[in-house]
Amino acid sequence: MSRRLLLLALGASLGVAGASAGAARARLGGTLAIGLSGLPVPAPGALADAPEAASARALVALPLCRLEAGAVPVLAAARRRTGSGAGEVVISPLAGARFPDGTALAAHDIARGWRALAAAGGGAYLGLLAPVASLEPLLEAAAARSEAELLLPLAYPWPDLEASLCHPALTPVRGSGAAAMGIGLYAQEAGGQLGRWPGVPSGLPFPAAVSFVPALPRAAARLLRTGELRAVLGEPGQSEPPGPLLFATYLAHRPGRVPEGALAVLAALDLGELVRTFVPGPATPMPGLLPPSLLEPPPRPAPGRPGPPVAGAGAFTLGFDAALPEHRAVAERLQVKLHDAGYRVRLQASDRPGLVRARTDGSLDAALVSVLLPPLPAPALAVVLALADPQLLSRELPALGAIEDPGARATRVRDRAVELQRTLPLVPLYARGLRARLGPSLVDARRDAFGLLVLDDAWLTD
Amino acid sequence: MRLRTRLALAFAALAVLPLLLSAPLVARRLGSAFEGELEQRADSARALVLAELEAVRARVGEAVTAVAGDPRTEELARSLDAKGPPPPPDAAQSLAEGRGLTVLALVDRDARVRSSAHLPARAGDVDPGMALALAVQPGVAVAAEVEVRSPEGPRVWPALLAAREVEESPGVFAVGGVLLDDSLAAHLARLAGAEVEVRRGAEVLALAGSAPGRAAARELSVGTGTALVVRVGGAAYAEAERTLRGALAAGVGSALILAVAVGVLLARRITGPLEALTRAAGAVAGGELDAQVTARAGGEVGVLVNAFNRMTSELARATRALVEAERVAAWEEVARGLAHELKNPLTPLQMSLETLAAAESTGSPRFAALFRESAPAMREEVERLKRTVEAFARFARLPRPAPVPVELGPWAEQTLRLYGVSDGLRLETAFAPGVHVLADRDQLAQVLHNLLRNAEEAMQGRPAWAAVRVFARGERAVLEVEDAGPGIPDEERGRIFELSQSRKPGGSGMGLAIARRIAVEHRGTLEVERGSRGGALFRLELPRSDGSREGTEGAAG
Repeated sequence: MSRRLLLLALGASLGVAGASAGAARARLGGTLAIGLSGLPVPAPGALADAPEAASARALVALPLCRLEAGAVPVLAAARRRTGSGAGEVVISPLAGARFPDGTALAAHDIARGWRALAAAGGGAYLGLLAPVASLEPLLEAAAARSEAELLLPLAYPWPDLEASLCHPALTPVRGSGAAAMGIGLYAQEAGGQLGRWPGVPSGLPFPAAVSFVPALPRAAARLLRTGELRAVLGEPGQSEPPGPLLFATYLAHRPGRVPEGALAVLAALDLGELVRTFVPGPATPMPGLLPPSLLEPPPRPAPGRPGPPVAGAGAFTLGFDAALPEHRAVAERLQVKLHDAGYRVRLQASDRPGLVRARTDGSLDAALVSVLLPPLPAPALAVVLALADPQLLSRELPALGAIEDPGARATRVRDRAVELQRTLPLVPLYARGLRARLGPSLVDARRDAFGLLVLDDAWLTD
Repeated sequence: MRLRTRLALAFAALAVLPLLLSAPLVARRLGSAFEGELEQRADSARALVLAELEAVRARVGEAVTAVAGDPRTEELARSLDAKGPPPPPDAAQSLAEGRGLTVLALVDRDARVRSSAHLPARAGDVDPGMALALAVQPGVAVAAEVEVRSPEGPRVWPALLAAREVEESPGVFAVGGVLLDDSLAAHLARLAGAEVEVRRGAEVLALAGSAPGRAAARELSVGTGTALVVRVGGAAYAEAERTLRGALAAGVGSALILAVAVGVLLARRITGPLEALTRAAGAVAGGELDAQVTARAGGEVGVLVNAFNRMTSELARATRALVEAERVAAWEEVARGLAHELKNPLTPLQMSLETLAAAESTGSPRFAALFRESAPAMREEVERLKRTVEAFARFARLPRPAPVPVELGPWAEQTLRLYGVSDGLRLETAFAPGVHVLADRDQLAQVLHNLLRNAEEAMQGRPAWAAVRVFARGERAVLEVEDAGPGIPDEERGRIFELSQSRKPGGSGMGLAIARRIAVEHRGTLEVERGSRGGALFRLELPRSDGSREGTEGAAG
């Protein structure tokens, strides 16, 4: 089977074919049973802000392109610069791309999928599209019209736009809520299984079906040994090298609502111990604003001696995403450490949209927020800025986009990240990657540039 | 207050007083009995809680020993030191499940938490509560304080903790126990049937069960400043006490009602004849002289009733005889008066006739002259005889009175308007209200008429003034008529009411006699004396009545 390029929105000229070394041995058919350890079964319309959820979701909802390992974007969108200005990008849906209800992919599905991000609590991912001029009215107009192409005029040069469009969060979506559907290798069938879906232009996958099986860790390991499960998501792999750790978690706070002393305690926190004890691996402390793979860890500022809390001012509310198991553990650990320092922290669990609403309306003083960052420094910084203070996007990105050389641009991004960390209302905590354990009967599964599991060319040995 | 009421109340008081005096004593004894029972229950509940706490300590020791020997615990302890991915901080949770432990942690020798079921976020830190458990004999539960989760952050909570080293993993200890929380308090409360409170100083940490009403409390010190307060409610006793008090009150109330009813019956039986006697006496006073008491009575009251009946019978008979005698006497007087009155004109008539007869028999020439002289005088005497006879006839025709209730004041006012006082007569009146009599209105009017006429006739040639007064004097009603005439000489006052004692020219001499007769027939008196202005003062006195029937009978009359 040819190496897949998921050209859901592809100019015909960009079709790429490549031969896989293992393609000759691939076998067609079989059911790919994937165990989910401690994770909910992902819904097609769920937000892809955790590596495991994004991997599972990618089976039924693909972005416009895939960023392969090595952060080399294989572009799926046609780009045409017009004139000598900032240029524009034109996205043309590829013929043959169809949703599970049989309808063809249209430009307004792309616009609707992106617009739905904000409502689902993924507004930070719209930072990836920040260079597009007048993004919001443009998407609103495109979502309402039936145009053949989606024209994205850029407000300023942004060389990483193609790579940004490959982010798993930026998927076209038809419908909303529980009825939302995307376009993937598989489609939801009756009985909960996923069946092969021919509406993907690049062709059918090898396994005929995919099923998700909730399993406790011990049971998952046993089923993996016996071959009843081909892979387990949510369990750390033992032999496979971990992919990039781009799932970044921050403590985002409203300026002035968290006591300075408490922020000093958080700044002095032993992140290594936090990650080692409370964050399931693979994970790494994130002393800087971006994960270590994107930003060489800056020297941590020497922790000041936190003063005693002011009476009546030592309390604040910390929210976290109830769907992410390690969020509760980390939130409780922060609560304990702040309690030891004399601060009273009230924890509040909610789902992702509720967390975003609470942060927006001010009912939360602080919250643990996780985002899946792109493997490129500039788009990653765009997501972080959108998370912390969207107004900074228009101030920071034009200067970065103006640097054409990728190396120089990355250096500049790192410098700005170090400088911005002092002022942004974000306390970076850790970055983690996909926890996946693959069975021996699953062949040719690989990781993409986000560290997500790619099963496009995977096949089952028996 | 009527005798019957007094007697009824007296009987009721006699019956209820002992109950009322004894009820508070009974209620007090009842309360103290319940109080003692409540204290005993509190002691029992405390003993039950104490025994269960010991049992909990033993179970905690056993459970922690079992955890320490569990292969999964050994595996977890090994994985904590392994180089691979560390177990999650709450991995101890699965070890606590099913063992009844609300606290469980794996700690190292210096009480640093490696994995915690009750506060995973404490992993990596030293927990002093765990150190206390490590200091005692392995597998023996002691009271200690541990940190637990709460929405506001870790909170120190009392617990019963035991520790034991994990087998095959030297230096790693399983420390587990039971929190003294709402769950344990609820268990103890259910067991003891009491309210159980976990206190640390003045702070109430947990509370379960209920002790409604007045409660008896016992305190159990657990250690580390923590105590269990076992409270037994006295609501059931209070309810029983209320019920018994209610029954007692109902008994007293019923006895009171019964006593009053019996008292009323007895009082009626005793006072019935007396009241009948009272009514009969009233009737006698009202003129019904033969009133009889028909109520049955025995003993002294029966004798009294019989005596009364005999007395009224005798009184009626004597009264009838007296009236008859008075009637005879009256007729005698009438006859005497009539004879006297007839005798006076008959004598000149006889003399004139004899003179005329002698003159005629002698053929006296003066016969004609004598006849002419004597005839007018004889005619006058005959006319006089005729008037006298008519007056006596009127006196004789006076009917028996038909008495009806009359209020004298309004009656006198009305009668005076009908009477038509002469011009020039200045009449003064003074009528007291509420003076009632039983009288024949027409005859009474005749009395007033006769007295006023007498006054007017007596004041011929004098300044005309008269006064009519009505007032009460004790049980008598008084009607006075006073004039400004010459008055009645003392020597004539005894005969003024006799027939034919008119002192006035042209009078029949019957008016005052008729007035007195009417007064007598109304069981009253009519007297005369000197008035304040020297004239005559006539005073009519009649027995007073209560006037209750006046409206209807007056209207009918």
